[in-house]
Amino acid sequence: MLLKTISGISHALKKKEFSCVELTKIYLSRIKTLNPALNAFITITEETALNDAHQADQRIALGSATPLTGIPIAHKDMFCTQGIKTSCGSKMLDNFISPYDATVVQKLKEAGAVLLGKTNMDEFSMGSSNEHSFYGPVRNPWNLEAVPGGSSGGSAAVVAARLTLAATGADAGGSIRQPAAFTNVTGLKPTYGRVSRYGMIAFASSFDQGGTLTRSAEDAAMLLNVIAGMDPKDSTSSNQPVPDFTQTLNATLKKVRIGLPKEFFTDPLDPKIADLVLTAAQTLEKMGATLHDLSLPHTPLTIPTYHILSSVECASNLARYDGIRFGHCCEHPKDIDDWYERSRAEGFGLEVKHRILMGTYLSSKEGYEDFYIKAQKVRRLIANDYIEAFKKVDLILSPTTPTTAFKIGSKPNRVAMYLSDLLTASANLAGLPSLSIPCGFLDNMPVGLLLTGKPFDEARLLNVAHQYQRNADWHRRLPKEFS
Amino acid sequence: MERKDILKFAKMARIRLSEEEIDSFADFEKMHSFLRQLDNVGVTGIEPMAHPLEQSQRLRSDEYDPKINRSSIQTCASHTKDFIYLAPENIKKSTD
Repeated sequence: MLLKTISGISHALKKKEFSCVELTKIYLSRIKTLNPALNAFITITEETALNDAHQADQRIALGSATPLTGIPIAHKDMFCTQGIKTSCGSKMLDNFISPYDATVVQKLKEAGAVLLGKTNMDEFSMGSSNEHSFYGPVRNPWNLEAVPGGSSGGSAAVVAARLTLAATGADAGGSIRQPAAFTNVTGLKPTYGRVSRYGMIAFASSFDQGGTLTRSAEDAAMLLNVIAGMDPKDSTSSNQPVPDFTQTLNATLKKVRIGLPKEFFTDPLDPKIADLVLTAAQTLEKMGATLHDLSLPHTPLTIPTYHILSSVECASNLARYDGIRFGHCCEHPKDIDDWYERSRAEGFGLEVKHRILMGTYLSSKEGYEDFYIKAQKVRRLIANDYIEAFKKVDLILSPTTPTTAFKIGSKPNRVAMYLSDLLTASANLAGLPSLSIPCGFLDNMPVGLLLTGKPFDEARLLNVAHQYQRNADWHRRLPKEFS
Repeated sequence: MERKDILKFAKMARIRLSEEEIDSFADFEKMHSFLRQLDNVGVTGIEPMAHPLEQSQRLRSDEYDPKINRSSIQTCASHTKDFIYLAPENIKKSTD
């Protein structure tokens, strides 16, 4: 059962090989036994899960099931869930019980998915290792001394360890794809605006995008079918038509033009990762795709540009945490300034404080023109590189990360940590859909392949990824201790 | 960035920092010079880009949504009374 994907489980549930309640109990049992080693869940919603499963069984019996009815899932703990704690990995929201559901949560609930729990994450999505959580670091199922990546590290770890069939995540600079690469799962960041951000706790509003962590591209297509679409509650959600992403999974790769940007295959990339990624590219070539060298010349500017803009947006978004309307509140404040300053000092962790202060500086009169406006202009240069590239190719292939998962506590400083997102953040700057899939192992640690497409062309990415996964079995491999 | 600058921006951000946290900003200069990589990039004639897909945001009608009511929203607050949020007095009375 642990090797089955969503479509396999959905089929088995409808054939009544087992019930949703039985399936849910198996996953809850695995979570109880195996989660303590990973620390990947912040909240386990056992009662909700069993109620959801019971309702799903009834729905199947009545013949009104969807493909996701009875499918166990987990939500990254930044999606608001009505009546269930939504902490965003922060002490600031440790006491926050959301009064409403995020649109993504509501849509998956309506489809009949079973909620197993809320996953651990870097505080307010700020991090690339999941070491910056109020609830402690998440561990990588492939090596418990290594990070699972971040900020959706808990979601990646629970999918990789088979503690759920699928999980939601969110990606502002690589937060779905980098942990997917580090843990051997499939991570999809859709086009900016493809999925509603309503009820998704904001970090950097022009970057954040909800997505999925799954066992296969086919599973990602099934989830995207449900969560994509315009939402009147999110003014940044797109009204582009939503296709059935499963319909084109088996389209031929003949004449698909794949670009390999030279800037993504240079230092600090581990050359052995480059070899594995190029081997995967050759597999796609054998299936009919054509490979083309290309250049995205402004790639080296990605990380400074991303950090200037995201820090400013973070400082603005996190100004709402005043301890008055919701969130942590200090004891016995002397006056309103004391209330604000101590509530925020006690509620936020150090990485969040650093980013807020950096963003405050960069948007102040000292930094506004030289940094913030300059970075917005460089963002356009980076986006223009992609526009030019997509005149020549249909999608872009590269490694997802420069290295495999690193040891917990091993990054010497912030800049070194921020460079973990070197190969992923440019897709966020340009708002493009991007998908990481497993493509091999280096010293027993997973390696990810990144596919980035034209705006709203998730179907093409999922098609290429699915065809690759029909010819390779990396994504089916399980970490030994969680088999 | 000097200590007084860190304290200034902390005050602007309404975050009180401990001595240990102020010391942790020692790598601020490293980060600052990292961000300075953009200094030499030519951007003459380039328009700033605020939205990744250059789309404008829709407006919606300003309508009451009965699904989200005041009492359920206020269960998240630490101090309320008669549907009002309580906080320390902010505007002092004139002593003239």
